[in-house]
Amino acid sequence: MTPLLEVTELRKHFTLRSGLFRKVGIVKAVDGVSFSIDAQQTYGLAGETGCGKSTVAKCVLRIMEPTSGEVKIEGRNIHAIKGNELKQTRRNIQAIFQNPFMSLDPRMTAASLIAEPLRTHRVLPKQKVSDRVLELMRTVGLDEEHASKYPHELSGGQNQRVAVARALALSPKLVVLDEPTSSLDVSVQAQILNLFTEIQKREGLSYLFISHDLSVLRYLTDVLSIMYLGRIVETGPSEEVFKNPSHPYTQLLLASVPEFTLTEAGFKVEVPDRIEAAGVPPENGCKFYPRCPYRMEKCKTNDPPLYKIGEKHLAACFLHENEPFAFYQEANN
Amino acid sequence: MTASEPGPQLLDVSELKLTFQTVEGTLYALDNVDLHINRKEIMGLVGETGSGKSVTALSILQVLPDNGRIVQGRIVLQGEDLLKTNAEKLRRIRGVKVAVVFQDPSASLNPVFTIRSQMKDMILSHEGEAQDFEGRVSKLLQDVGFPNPERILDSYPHELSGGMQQRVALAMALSCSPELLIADEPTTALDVVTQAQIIALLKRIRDTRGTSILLITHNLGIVAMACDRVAVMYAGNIVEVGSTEQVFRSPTHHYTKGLLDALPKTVSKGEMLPVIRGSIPSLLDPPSGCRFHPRCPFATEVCISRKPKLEPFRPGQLVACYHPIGDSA
Repeated sequence: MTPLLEVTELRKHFTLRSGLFRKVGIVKAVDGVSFSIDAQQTYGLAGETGCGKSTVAKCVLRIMEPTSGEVKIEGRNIHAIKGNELKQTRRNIQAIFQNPFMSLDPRMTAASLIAEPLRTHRVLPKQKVSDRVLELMRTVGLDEEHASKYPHELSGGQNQRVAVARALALSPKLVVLDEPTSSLDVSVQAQILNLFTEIQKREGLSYLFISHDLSVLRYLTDVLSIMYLGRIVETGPSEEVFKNPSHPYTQLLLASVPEFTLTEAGFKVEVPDRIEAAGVPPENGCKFYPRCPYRMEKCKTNDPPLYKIGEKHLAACFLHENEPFAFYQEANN
Repeated sequence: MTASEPGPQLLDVSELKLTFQTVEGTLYALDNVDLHINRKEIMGLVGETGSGKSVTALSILQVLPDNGRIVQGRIVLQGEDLLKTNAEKLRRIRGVKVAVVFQDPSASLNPVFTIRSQMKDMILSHEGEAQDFEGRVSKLLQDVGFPNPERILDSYPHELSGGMQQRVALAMALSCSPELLIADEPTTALDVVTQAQIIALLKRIRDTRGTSILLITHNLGIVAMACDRVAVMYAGNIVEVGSTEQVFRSPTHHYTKGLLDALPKTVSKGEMLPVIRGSIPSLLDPPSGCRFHPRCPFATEVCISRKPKLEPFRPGQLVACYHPIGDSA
């Protein structure tokens, strides 16, 4: 069975210029990322600012052309198709972004925002559009009275609901969620997360969930990958990654999460309060080398491959050298 | 108090009422806020957007916007009521006794001056002279975690990362050894790892310098990580105060419990998160009585008609509720 989304060896490099013409360097925002998402699955992508997670999302949505690599939706390479075929495929992938105030046109009412994709793709006869809009509004928990409101008249949570309705309008198979709750308060976040769960149950769609919030990812995702400087350093079933974080970076990340599971020992914090001697990531070695507490000589010159920690749990670190090595595809099938 | 030794009181805010005049009418931003901060303690002030956390901090420093008016209350710092202090004296309290760091360090640092000249300005403006400036500043920067202060002093803000900028802002705030440091969402703009480092740093500042810290945040995890005590705010009121451990283990206000339950921590995948029904009320026309009553599943007649006072419930834990959780009566 072909997976719903298949990303192979995705690379996106940006050229840094000084002035108009002089090249001064290359930023490898995404550097060889592969993964796949099955139907009805929630796939999480975690990492810090600048690790490339949003660039991956943009390449998946074809907002951005990758430098190399493939993005296949139901077997079709989204960067190779055009015209009608592209338009058809685009219906199947929708996105919800972090800040609804920025992703929604301030001059359109909630109803017209939700109707826009229906009109653009002409999926319904005109007279049926408003019925579908109302139905979508009910689905996401908005009342009829919100239909005529503009984004500035709605709260952050309500606007995010409009964005959700808009994304659902074309019954997509995959929804890319790029930090969808990061700008919301805890109580509103809970409402929106519940909405995602509910919709997935009913519509059977898949999510690519991008976030830096590990507690949200733990709650929502089936598979979780951790990115560091353009690479996936660890991937596996979410529960396994949380129970047995195997890459030193994942371990650092998890230790940094403000945990408050009250243990007998009380609260724990083990992250150093000083800036470590950072240094520059080596060109040919492990990118985490300068920050890694377990760094070895070989990490500076060799790029660690993915080692098999469990059935589908992989980590790119020489600490696991004794385990067999693996490819993303292997773990996914 | 169980978690920390109750030091003598440093700051005592009582019955603070604050309003804002807006085009839509009077906004009742703070309604009888009581807040005490002890010496050498990290006090958390937690609440959602619009609950009044930041304006509480601005009131302490009296740097409110022009349309803000303190209608009533006292803000007593070491025996002195700041609301009755003249402007000149206040200027000497700000930065010297009470310092502040804000959410976005790039907005609080001047982009066209080096860190050295900004730190010099800060010290000169408060002390008139900068004796042993280099040595003092180097020490400060080392204290906030920079192994090489020289390099930082010669940098411009844009040459530093967000976490480094926040460390510089902290060093500047500490330069006149304040008694109270107000940190308003100091880690919200930062990554988790950097966030954890800054929190650890705040704790070390408290431990080594004895500075009291008022940590304002919307993140309950940060409160758990850093604070000795916590005050929970809702719609301009403090609804619960207590040691962090007590409040998190056995919350007594229904809002506190709702917030804790809404975290995606407690339930497993596929299950629904418990939510607080309704949404935050408009402060232009706040609900009568307890401001939480329209959203509270346990609200009764009395909650609608009369506002509950913040009163002791257990030793060290105060709650403003007629039907607190854990009340057997």
